[in-house]
Amino acid sequence: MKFTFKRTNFGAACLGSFLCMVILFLITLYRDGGELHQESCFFFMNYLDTRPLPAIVMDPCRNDWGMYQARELSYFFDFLDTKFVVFLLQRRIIWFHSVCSLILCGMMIFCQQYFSRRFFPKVPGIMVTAFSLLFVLSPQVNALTYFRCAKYLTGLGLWGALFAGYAAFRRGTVRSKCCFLASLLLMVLSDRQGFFFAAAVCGTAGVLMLCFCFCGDHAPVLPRRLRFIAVGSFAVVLAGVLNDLYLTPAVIKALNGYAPDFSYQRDIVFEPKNISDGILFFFGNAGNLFSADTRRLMTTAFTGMFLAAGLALELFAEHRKGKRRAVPLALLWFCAAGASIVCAVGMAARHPAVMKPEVLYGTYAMPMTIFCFFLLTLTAAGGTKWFGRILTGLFFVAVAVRLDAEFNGSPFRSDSELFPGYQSGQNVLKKALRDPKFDDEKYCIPHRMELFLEFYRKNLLKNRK
Amino acid sequence: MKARSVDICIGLAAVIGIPVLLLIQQALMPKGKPPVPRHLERNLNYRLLAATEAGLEYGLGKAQHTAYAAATYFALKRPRRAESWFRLGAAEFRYPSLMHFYGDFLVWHGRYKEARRWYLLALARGRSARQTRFAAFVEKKLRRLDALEKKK
Repeated sequence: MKFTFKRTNFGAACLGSFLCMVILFLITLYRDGGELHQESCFFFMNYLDTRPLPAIVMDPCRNDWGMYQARELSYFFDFLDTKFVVFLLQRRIIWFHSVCSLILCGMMIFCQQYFSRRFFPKVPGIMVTAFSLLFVLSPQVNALTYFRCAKYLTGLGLWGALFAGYAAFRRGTVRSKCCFLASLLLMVLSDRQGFFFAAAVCGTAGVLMLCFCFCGDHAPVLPRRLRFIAVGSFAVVLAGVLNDLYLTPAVIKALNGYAPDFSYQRDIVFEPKNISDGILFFFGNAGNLFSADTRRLMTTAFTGMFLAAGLALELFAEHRKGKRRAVPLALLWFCAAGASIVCAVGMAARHPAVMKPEVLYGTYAMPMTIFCFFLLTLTAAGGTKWFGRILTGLFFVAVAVRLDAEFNGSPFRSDSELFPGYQSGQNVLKKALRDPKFDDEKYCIPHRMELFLEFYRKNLLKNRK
Repeated sequence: MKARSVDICIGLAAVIGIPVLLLIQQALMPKGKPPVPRHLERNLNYRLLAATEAGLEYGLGKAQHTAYAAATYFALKRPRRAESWFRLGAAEFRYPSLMHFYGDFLVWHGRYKEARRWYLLALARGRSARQTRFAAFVEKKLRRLDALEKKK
């Protein structure tokens, strides 16, 4: 396959991305400045400290409640977000959304739009746009709370790694290989989930290589094409391990004088219930894209399972027709779903709050959704005619359901709903930020929000323009 | 044949190597909890933090959290904020104990008329719930309020 730069691809991708960004921006406007997350109250003050930038960023104790996870790169973007929030606050604009996440979303959509059109010309453009619209309207992506950019960085890295990996597999150019490694490195340095999915990419490449080796002459592709993906991703994961164990702790020690606490990564207690939770998390999020029902997890989980059954049927039909790509594609789906479920099981064990509806449909599931979208595009690229048609129709129905839920119902359940005190204090906080003479003493707000206001009045109000 | 063996080796290394690498990473992680540096939230009052967060949990928040938040603000000499917490517990959550505490707070500030209103409300709630000891206690407070008003 020969990839050439087509102006039509670029133009259509730009137009599609612009449309999605306008929708995303309208959603942020509709939410009236968003909400200040309770954890953001805490790290907001740290990012405005007078220490040098490297010392502020390399400080998991203050940026992440002491839970060291080797994701310091994302703290740098949180720092930029804080500066932007302050910049707007000083101009009397309340906007507790993450500008970095918004830009990263734009980049993700462009990446998906452009490379889907370029690498999979058989997929109709309307389907690619439907994918983007559904991606933007999913609560995993459009939360955009001023909180953390880690998952958005991981998402961008994953899109890049999947498309660059595909290009490296098909053509093996140096540029695609470099992009693949850079994307994986971005994932590894951004978040623990990024690290996990980089490891999953390596494992999947290994499984495919073994499968192709034992297929003999019937293998659809030469397994040696996967050599670079397996070796390269393994090298990146190894670099991530070394960074986690030695490099970042040494830098933290040098800049801030303390050794990070590994207990968040180390002390994970698994229970049998976590397995069912992980499965429900995965299928629930897949189903929620189409049903927009955040109240009943079983409904969304069954929707997800129904879709998985439809997909299995399509792959079986392709296999019956003698298409050689059916088996490796089924393996890819199996590995991606397996990795996502293992990741969800780990999250449920480490942080059981992920099973609460306010968190369950949040950004935690974004990388899994990206895996699904990429593989759906790959499946649709050479799939049967009816599969493509049904998929496009289904996606447009899902977009309509999501749009209706976004603007007519109240589907958006932010993380801060977990903390009712912070939820109820948002209006008082916004009034106090808008009007310097507002008497917040008459209202009950959480102590941390009170400190935030105190800090704002002492340090930021005097510089207000 | 040689290329195939290399591919099998790489495939096996990728499939087995990743879990092994993660296990090695777990084993090499430093054990124990290192001393945590002081947080930047220097003015943070942990008692207040717990009380305010728990006190605002509608449905879950109990009277004692609201009362505790109000009492802590009162002890910190921030009576206006304390009053807002008393009012939350008494007027919004309708806790009889908070109504009575709010009455005490108002008596302390010499606002006897308002205090009487809250005592009477607490008394009515106590009687309707057949909490005779609580009702008797509030009645005692009302008698003391009468005496204070006479003195004034």
